[in-house]
Amino acid sequence: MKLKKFILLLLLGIFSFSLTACDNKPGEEEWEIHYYTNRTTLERDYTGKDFFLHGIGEVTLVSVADGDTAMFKTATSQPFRVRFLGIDTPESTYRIDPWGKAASDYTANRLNNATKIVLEAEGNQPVLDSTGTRYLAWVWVDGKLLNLELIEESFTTSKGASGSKYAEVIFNADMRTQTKGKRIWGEQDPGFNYSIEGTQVTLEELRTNEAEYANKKVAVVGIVTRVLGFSAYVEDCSGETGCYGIYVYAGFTQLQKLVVGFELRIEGTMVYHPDQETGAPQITDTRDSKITVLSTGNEVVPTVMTISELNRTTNPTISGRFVKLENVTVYSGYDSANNAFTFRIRDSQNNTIEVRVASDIAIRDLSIPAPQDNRIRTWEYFNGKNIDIVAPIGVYSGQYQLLLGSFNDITFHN
Amino acid sequence: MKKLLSLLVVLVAMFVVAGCGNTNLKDREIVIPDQLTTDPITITFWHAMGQANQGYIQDIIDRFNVIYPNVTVIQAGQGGYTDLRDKITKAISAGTEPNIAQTYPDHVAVYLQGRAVLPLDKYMENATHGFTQADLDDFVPSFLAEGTIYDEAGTYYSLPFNKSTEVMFYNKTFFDQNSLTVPTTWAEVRTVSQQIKTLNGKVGFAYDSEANLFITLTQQWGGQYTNVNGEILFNNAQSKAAVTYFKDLYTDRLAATPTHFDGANYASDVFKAETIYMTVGSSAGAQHNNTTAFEVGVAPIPQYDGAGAVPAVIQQGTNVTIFSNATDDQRLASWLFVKFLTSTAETAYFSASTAYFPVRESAYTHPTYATFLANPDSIFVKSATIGYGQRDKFFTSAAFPGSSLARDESQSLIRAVLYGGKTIDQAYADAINELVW
Repeated sequence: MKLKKFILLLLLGIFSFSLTACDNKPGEEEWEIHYYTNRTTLERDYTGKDFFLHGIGEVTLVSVADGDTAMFKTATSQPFRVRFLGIDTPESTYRIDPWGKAASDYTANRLNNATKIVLEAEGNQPVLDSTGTRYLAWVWVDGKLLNLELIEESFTTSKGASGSKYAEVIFNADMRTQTKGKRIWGEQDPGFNYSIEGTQVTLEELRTNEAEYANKKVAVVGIVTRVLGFSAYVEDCSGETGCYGIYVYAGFTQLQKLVVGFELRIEGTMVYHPDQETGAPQITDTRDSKITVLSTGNEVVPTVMTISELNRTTNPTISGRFVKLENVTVYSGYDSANNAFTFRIRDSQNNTIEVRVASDIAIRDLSIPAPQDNRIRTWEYFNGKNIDIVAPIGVYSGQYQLLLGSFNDITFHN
Repeated sequence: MKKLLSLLVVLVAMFVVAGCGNTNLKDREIVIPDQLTTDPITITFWHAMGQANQGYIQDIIDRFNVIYPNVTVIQAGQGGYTDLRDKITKAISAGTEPNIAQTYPDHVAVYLQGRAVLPLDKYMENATHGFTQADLDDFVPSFLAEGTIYDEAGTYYSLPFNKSTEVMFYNKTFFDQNSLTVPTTWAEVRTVSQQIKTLNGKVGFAYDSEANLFITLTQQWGGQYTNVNGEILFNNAQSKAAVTYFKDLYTDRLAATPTHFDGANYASDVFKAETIYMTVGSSAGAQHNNTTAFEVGVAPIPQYDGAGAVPAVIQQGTNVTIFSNATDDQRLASWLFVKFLTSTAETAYFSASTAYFPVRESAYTHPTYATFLANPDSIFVKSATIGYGQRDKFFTSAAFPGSSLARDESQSLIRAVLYGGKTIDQAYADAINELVW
């Protein structure tokens, strides 16, 4: 059987020539950067509507993560992350790309100075992106579609716009903008370090003067204290003011040199993830060829600390450190998707902190023999236990938390 | 009908060829200069690659410029593959298409409707700039053949670029602990999944792509799917038997697809969470199934071993196509770049960097690729070598305008049968009704 419908469609297509044949683009002499943005308006009524209930609604800005991601809240909701639809700006968080920081700054400037921000879902209900953590939305800033504006500012090509309600105008804007050769379409980013070599710096210097090194290429030396998934924590205790640590992000790739006890020189870029306010500094953009093994078999000893010391206000530079907490009790928690879970521990003074087990970390109770499933998948396994725990310090939503990497890093007292 | 309407928009844009463009060089005869001009010349290469792969392409461009310093190659990532297709379709209507693009076969079929694609045969045969017979023999035959599927004359409209297939990832730690045997047939999948279900009650297996599941099983059971004339052929007993077989596996909770698992977008998510223990996915997507939570094994995908079985593994990935709307020198420069891109050294470099397959046999022993293969424990190496080891079973489905709709309906059909409560016959009837008048 033939696709007879196609014949009809082809004929219709030809007859429709005049409808879409020529895009009414402005000429070179009347170039207007925001040509399409200025001619695109929000048609849906958002008055009295809620983004989650109706797929459209007014929101307030909480924070900006990068050029295409920000956190908002509605009048009744908790803060939630939003990934802007139809675009993909260069990275400026876990990885630094040319024009990534500039795109982030542009978005931050527009959102921070906005009088009214309206989020519009593609359909009648907001949906999550493929990571399951960010709602997808068209972002209207004082009546202008920011997604489209970022394209016309040459910060991004269109991505995932096909079939969407604004596909036509986005493609038109994208095609037109590319011809000008601005920013990502042909210019060097003056704020990007194109050099290959990073600046050699101690972890002490980096952590005590973070602002100087943020988004820059660096080379640091440290001993691997823990490997979590493909990534690792390194620490250097040779400084004058004690130990300093940092997270080394490896993405989906297993780096052969990230081995506990290895002393490494690591080249990469220092960034905050997800941002300076709510996250921690990390080294990203590294790979085995940018890592030098200086020595192996170093003893890794955690620093004994108390929960009250794990306070980001009084001790702002201890994320990434490898620590031990003694005689703490698990008293609550929650489970997340794909076997991730979090439990809370407290000491005798009722100071508390969270311990996180990420979805890519398998905590196995090796006392349970095969063929039984020995992977611990719920925080309740630990409920009520009095424990000692060793773990690196991470940051989540602006608070310190411990990141458990192995069952052997917990000593049970009951 | 919605899908057909959206396609209509694409076609409308595509067929509007004459009115807008400033240039219309595409209908000219092919004239190949004896020598490429030494004047400055610019060509554009549109693709759908991310930042990392763009870096590898830039490396290749830089090496190309050592030989042809007067040729500026501007690469431009255009978002995802659908974005790329739609932008090129739109650009063709405006006469602003690139010189070269990364293409899937069904995209090329659409561009051909706009008479926008440059036939490559004369360039390939050209005594000065073309391929030798040794070159042609060096290409992986099924990869090269994919460029000729658009007409009965076998005209070349693309050359292979980044190719991949499907492999099965399995939880080797779990298999070893429980003395399970890695299945090679669907019957063995049933046996092993039953053993897993007995052990811990879980669904053992998930096929990541529902469309590939339908197309591959139809092929393995000896059924037809579509053909180059755009005919929809999958309403046959073999295809229905294949889908029935998988449905029975699902009914017994021995196999599923990501849709079964709430909140899972990809089978790799539930695989890494040890909710399942085997999954079939792209050989080029090994990183998504990579985890330190357990050792990941890689194996060929299961095959049907019943009556009428046809060994089959889908061949995936893109090609590169040259557009005709260009000057003779731009066309030649584009051809020289594509020839360079597919040379032994460069396909070895790109493949070693990305885990796609080299498109030439000689690249597999090139020092660059040999270095990549020297780490046999790497999941990327395992995935690439196991995947390429299935090449005698590779098949490609026909490409024609609208073949992507047939893929969409394949996915819908699987979902309707497994999760929508439809009978096999009803699901097939609905799919055919969507596609055929």
